[in-house]
Amino acid sequence: MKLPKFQYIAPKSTKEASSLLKEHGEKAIAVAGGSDLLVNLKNRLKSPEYLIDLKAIPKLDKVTFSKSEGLTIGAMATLRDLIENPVVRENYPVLVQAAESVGTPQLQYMGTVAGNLCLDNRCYYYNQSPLWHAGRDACFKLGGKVCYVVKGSKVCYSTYCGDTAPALLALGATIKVSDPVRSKTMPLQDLYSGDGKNPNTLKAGQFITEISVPPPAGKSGSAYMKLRRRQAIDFPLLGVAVNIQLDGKGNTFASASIALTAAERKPILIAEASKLKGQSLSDGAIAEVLEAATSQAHPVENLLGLPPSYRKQMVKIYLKRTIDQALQSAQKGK
Amino acid sequence: MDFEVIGKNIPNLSAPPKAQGRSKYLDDIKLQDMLYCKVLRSPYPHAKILSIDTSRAKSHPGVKAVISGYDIPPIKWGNTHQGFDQYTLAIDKVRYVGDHVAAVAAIDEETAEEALDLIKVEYEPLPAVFDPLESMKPGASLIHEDRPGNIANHILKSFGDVGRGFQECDLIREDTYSTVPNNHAPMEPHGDIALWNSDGSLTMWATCQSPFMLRRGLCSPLGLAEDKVRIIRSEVGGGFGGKVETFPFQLVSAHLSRLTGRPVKIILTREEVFIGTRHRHPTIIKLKTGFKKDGTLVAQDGQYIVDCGAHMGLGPLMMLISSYMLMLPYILPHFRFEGTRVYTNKPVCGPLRGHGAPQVRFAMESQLDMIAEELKIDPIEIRIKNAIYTGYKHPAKQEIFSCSFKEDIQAVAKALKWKERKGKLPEGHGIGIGCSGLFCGVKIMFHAGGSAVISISVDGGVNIHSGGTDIGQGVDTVVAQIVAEELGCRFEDIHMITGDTLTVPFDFGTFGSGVTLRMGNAAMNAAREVKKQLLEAVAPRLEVSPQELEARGGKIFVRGQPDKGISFKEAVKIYRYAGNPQPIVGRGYWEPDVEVGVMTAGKDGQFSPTYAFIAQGAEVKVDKETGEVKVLKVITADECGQILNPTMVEGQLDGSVFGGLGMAFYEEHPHIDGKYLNTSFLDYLIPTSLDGPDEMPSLMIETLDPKGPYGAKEAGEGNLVPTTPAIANAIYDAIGVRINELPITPDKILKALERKGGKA
Repeated sequence: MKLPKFQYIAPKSTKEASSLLKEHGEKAIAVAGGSDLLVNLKNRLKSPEYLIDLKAIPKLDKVTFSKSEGLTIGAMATLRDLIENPVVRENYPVLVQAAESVGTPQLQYMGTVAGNLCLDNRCYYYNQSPLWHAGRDACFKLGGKVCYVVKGSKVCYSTYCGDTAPALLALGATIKVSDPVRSKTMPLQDLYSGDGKNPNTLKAGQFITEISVPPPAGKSGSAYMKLRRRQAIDFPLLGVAVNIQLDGKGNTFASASIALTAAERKPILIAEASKLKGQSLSDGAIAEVLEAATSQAHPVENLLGLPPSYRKQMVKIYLKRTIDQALQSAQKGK
Repeated sequence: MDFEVIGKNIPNLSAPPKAQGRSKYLDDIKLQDMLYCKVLRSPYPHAKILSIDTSRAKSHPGVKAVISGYDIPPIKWGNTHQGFDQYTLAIDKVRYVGDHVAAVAAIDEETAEEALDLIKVEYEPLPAVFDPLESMKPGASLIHEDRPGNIANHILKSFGDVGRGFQECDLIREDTYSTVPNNHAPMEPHGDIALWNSDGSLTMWATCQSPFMLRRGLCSPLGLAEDKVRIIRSEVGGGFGGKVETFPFQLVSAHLSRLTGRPVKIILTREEVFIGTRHRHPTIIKLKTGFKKDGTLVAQDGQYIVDCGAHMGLGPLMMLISSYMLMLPYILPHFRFEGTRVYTNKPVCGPLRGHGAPQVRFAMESQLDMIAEELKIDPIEIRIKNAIYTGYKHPAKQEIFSCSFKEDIQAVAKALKWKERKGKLPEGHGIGIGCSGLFCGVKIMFHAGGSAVISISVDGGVNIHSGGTDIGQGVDTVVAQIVAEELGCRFEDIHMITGDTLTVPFDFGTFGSGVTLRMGNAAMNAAREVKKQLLEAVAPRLEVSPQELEARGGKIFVRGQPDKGISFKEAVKIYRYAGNPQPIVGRGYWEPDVEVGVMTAGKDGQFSPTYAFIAQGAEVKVDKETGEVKVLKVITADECGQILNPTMVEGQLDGSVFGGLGMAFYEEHPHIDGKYLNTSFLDYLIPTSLDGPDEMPSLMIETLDPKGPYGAKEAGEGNLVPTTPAIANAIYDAIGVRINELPITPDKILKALERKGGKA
């Protein structure tokens, strides 16, 4: 399949990019690495008149770190930039593990972190070719009036399948969003609408310019585990990110945050994780969180590879293993 | 034996150009004025075509021709005589999603794609059937009007007396197994360039496994004589059985070239490869097998339902191969096998590594382990006890010329430390074995042999003109090794001339694990003719008779006196200066001494000139909480005759193990209303290098076979066959559950563990 025809524009500043995106509204799409978007264009799932490439904007690919400010990731920084960054490797293992689990090394060199956060939702009734869609009524995500996944539903049930979003949510990341008028900063979770059709809340003219992650606390540990059929290429069928901090003695949780992906229409931050604060590292305390996470995971029959019942069953097992891994790294920490 | 060239790890001749990016694959070939073709395919699994309007597409700028089934002669054709069941482009109705409806030739791909959108087709959807069992039921929607019950073909093969046999048994088991479609997934998609010449002949550049088979396949649908069709094979980026057949897209490009007078290129998209070429047949196998208490196999009855998709393809053969591959590699006195191949409204099935063997061996080898357990006999012992051996007189009149199957089994057992570890490893950790026999060089129609001409150039270069087809497996290199050994010339002086039906002699190409036998034997015979002429010319100079001469390592010398000789190049000069006819030419032909009726109609007798035997062991760890399986090791003992090139054999084994892993765990085609859901390399799961075993040792067992060149047999295709059952048996050893419906997935394993209860 060839790409559809579009006009390609590569603005030189964030302001210019925002203005162009605002001006053309729904006719324009911003592109960073393109590894998700180009496939969708080839399948004619999107047919923009304008592609606004962010590549020509200077200094947008910077990754910086300071002990006081934490980590800042520019919008054009690639997944590989994170994976190969020694500071990120040392301080944010969850982020490295999540980035390493995306696609293949080739895709990690092309794909950006910000692009991965803005990954479009997936559904096997949607991510198909024009021939596949021909002769069928369009679903909500294609602009129609039906959901094939949840029969009788009034909304789209496509699934969010990004890997780095749960990692960054667990780390408490914020994003800086460019706007023609005034850029703003917001918590990462506010990026996600929970609407399968339009999974992110960015409005015309807005795009992520920067992701900020707080500095790592002492005695902290983090980990990401991904359920998939193969050890490469595949999108997650479930992803679990855990970030915890222990008290000085290492006997109780000082804080904990947990996020899931490929379990809902958006990545989910499990609020109950905060209840671990002050609790001992016993299985009893953790069990409650496992239950809470499981009850919030709503996998549906729209991803290939494993059925939703199995994916839901795996929440507890994967989460427990991820917590164990994060605990191990926290206990080794200073 | 001590060889000069054979058995050495000579690098594949095609490796340097591939590594440098200089190989000419079809996509690299561009002809002047070339047009690009795209095919409009059916979005419905079964529908009447009410009308086709191509007028808008025809007037689209850049479009040179548009055709539908109504614009070309309505000739029904097929890949076997049993199944002339398709038109090149659909007439009156479409039978699967992906069926060919119309085609466009335009100045570039984009324009051709745009034009497809402008073709208006009105369909009236018909009820469709996707499950062979549904399709066979009375009242099911008929896919081909002249095929009642949607039955494509049926076979019955038997020998001995199954009824009496079962009466003699102490244990009879009946189990049902099922398999799913797998695709060849070659890296290079299918394609061709057709050029209809002004004299009415056709030249086609094609990525294919057999130029001569393609030439024959194109003739009758196009109404051309064979000598009016010339096929030029491009470098082939993977075949695995998927590029053997003639496809509608090739005929479409020929028609479009005829209409435009310009070369027309078509390269399928990945989606088109998945829906528009072939798959391994999905099957349902009911296997009833009887044993005596002492572990003697007595009788077997197989009931087989095969889903062939919407057309016959080359498939009828597949059920026969399934039945023959149950008849090997164990001694089996009483046998009955009934197979029914059923049409469904799904993409067409065809040959894929093993062509019917992997499905039935998965069933048989799984069941054999269950029987062994019930009889309290070790799985290794029960296999050795029933193993076929050299010279075994098969009740169906198959002859076994070379077989070290028992040694294969013992080698695997030893490598897995079977005695110490079987049934004794910690819970979740297990080992298993699977076995198979395989044909080497089947004959699917008359004259399915190979021929070669070797000519010697004035300066002593050795030119091998062969009709055989290297599809990446390295047969050109191996044939050059055979000829260098036979002629005694240097390997580097050999030139392979292949792939063009106009300039090379006939050979039926790569299929049926026979290319080394066909191409190799033909070239070896041609080399012998050349050698005879050379030795006769040289003998007077060395003052001995030709019989006393030996050719070896680039020299011709008196046997036993390596100093008394001359170089190969000097010998050529002597021949020339003696006024002998020029150039020196030798020809060779080889055809398996196999009756065609055995292969096509299931008569008793030899259906393959010889057979290879394989034992494979697997070691796995199963995560009982998640059902995920890690394959630690796959060990292959392949009794592949004389090894011609160890590195290439190893490459074949490794590739086959990955194919087997794909079949066992990953590869399937879920669909909605006949629309395959996974038509990309993202969604169609082929195991990656990270998903393979940590170790894949190959234990090559050499046995000299009287039929193969220098005693060589097949090495590759057969090794995919036992992988799936070896893994299934290892999983059983690890956790005590069996998944009889492929593929084996984590959720199925967890469910099976839950059913098993307490122990989980």
